[in-house]
Amino acid sequence: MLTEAAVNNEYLLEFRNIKKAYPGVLALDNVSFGIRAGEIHALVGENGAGKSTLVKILTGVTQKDEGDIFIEGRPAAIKHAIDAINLGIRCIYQELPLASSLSIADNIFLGQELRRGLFINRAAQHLYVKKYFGEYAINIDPARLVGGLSVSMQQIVAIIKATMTELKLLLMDEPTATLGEKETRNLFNFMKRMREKNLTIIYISHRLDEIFEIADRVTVLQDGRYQGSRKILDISKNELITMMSGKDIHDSSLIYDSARQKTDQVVLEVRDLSYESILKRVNFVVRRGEIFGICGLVGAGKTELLKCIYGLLKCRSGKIVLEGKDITEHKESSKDRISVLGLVPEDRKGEGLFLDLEVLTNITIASLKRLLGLIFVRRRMEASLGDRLITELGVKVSSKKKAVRVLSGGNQQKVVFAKWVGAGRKFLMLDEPTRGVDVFGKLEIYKLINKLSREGISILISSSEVPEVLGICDRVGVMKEGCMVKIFERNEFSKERLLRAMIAED
Amino acid sequence: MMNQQAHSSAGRIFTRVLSVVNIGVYAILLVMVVFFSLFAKGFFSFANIINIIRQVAIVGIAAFGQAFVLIIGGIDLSIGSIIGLSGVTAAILIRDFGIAVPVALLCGVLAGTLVGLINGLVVARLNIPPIITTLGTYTIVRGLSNLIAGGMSVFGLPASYKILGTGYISVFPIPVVMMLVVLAVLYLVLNHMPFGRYVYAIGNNSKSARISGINIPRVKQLVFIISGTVAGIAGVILSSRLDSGQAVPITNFEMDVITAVVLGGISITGGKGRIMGVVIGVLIIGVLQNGLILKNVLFYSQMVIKGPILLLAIGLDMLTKKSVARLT
Repeated sequence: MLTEAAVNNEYLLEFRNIKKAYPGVLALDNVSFGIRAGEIHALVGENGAGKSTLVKILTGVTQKDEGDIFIEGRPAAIKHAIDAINLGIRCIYQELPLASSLSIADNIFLGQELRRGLFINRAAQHLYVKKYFGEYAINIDPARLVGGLSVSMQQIVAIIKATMTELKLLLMDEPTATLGEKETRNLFNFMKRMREKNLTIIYISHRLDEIFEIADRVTVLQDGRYQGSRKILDISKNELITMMSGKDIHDSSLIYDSARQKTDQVVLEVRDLSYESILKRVNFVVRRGEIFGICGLVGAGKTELLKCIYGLLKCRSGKIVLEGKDITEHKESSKDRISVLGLVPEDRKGEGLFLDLEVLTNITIASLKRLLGLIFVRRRMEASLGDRLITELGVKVSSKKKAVRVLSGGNQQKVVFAKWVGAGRKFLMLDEPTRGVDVFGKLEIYKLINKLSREGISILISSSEVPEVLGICDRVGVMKEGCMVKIFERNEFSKERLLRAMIAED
Repeated sequence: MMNQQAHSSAGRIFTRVLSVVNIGVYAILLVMVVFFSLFAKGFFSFANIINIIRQVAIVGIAAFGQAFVLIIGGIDLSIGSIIGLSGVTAAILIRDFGIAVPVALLCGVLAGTLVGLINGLVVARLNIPPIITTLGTYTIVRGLSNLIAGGMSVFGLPASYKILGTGYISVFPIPVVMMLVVLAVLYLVLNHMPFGRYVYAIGNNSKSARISGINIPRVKQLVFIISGTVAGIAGVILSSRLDSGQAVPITNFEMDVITAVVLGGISITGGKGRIMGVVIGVLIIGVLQNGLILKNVLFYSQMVIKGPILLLAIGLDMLTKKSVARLT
């Protein structure tokens, strides 16, 4: 006899009381909801709400601490990635597992080629793919190389490849973040046809317009808690945003430092800046001593904006004025630019650090000219600069001779900060400065930002985490699809307002 | 008591040295020295040790420059042809144009600098991979050297031409002194000048280097100029020793040099390694060659033996690194 917690056959997949904690943070707190067979189920929530943790648990990348997962009414144990695959669960990530120099058909059949004797039976493979494409009204030659396809078409190929073995549930994590209008349409048409064939899809996205177009139901997570599931026809965009924002309880008073000196003097002025088709006439100014935030979804153009200002990308039109000097046409290494600006990049390991080099070398690499004697670097002066910065910024490391690779994420980030502070840069641009840093590390970095600001360093901080910018910034500009749609003063701050500007159409 | 103290400080120095260079390479060198001392007559003597160093001086000089190229994540194959060009240039200038010997030798070195400059321009400004660029200049320079020399060795040089390659300063052969000078200069450049830091930084992560404000094309340009110049120095010394200008004085010279550098612990993928390690790499090649000659091993057999030694040294190095990584 089954108990009260009897299987609910209405669901293909059901989460019950899922809990998952990471050091210092409860990523999922008693989350229970179900996904119906054959629906496109949107999963929404701001960054850090627990969506990606749920995906990781479902795909076997990480393990839940407590709770149960039921698939077709049976408890499912997902311990490894292979378990998820055997259960028919697949995830399409932004990085697609395709070989770009092989053809569409070769990719789809990779590892399970149709053969004739020793050789691949290309004709049969092409016939199969053509037939498959025919059902979805796709008119592309299966012999074409995957590398030459549009991103949406590559996603479609990846999905078809996933259907070559049993596929019950497809997870899609922000698949349209890098897609244009037309490509998104292309992907949606394919998804709708897949739904007609009774495939179940969990669709994770921040883009409300898309959710309202494609999804049947939507589930909202907020700070690791389940906020409810709704039929898409029963809810308005406004209601959904309210559900996503939860209560405005951010502890910004703890982080925000109102005692800092602010001035009206403009340090950076960006006028009508455009880049490729990614940035569209962006306008804003940053004042001396100010902490200015830029908030927006992945793909909104935040990183590109910073790289344009830093000279790593060449803007199409517009003007960048730094400390009263027009640096728009300057080379990336021009003196007017590099004597003022420092960039703490989003990809800390890939662009911010020299992982195999010593902490000290990482810190002083941009200050060597200042440490120069007649022709050699003054070792003792270098060491004392390193010691001073390590203490001042609170880098925790047993020896400054250690390779920076062994440091924790938060400490590595401080090393990147130290590099620019040591070089005396007066304007720091921070791109997602707390990404991959644990909660304690985050707090330390906020304190550090405040400290630098008090010392007169102007700060531009780009982030996709709303509480972060609300917590620390004096003003926040919201970017959406390459435009700076709105700039909020501190007294106008609210999570709901920011979210609305970020994700809803005006 | 005293003894113990001395022992522990010596131990500390020893571990520091080991941490600088890879253990495997040290072990190989040690084993080889012990082996040849026991079994090769005349190996372990002051004269022979000086002799070994003189034999490797030319490879060594070029290797210290090549180390820069490898650390920055590149490779310079053209050095194998540069040693020919610089010797032929010097020899022709003396024989056919009556230029004074020191000036001609300097011009020979500058010929190497020029090739390095061209390599650097192509790599840094046109963004063509170093292996392709230097393969190209390797062929061009070799052809050019042969053209200049008229397809023959350039003989008939004054007696003073031989001094650089065969002379002595007190008991030390001039090539050995030259090697030590090049080593000292390049050591200081790599470890004590901002430029050296930039070389490591670019080799370790060129994106971070760019964002840190390092002028990458300029650093790459200079690195190839260094490599070309020291190959030019190696070339004129070699030419002086041979008392002639030859378009191809040594075959596979570039391979010997790259072998020494890699044996010395410079990573093929860039960013890692110490120039003092290259000294060990160069010595291994020298000891091996010398010992095998003393044991009357044929030249071709020597080649067959060199390959496995290289693989063994690198393999041992990988193994020790792995076990160290597991311990920490």
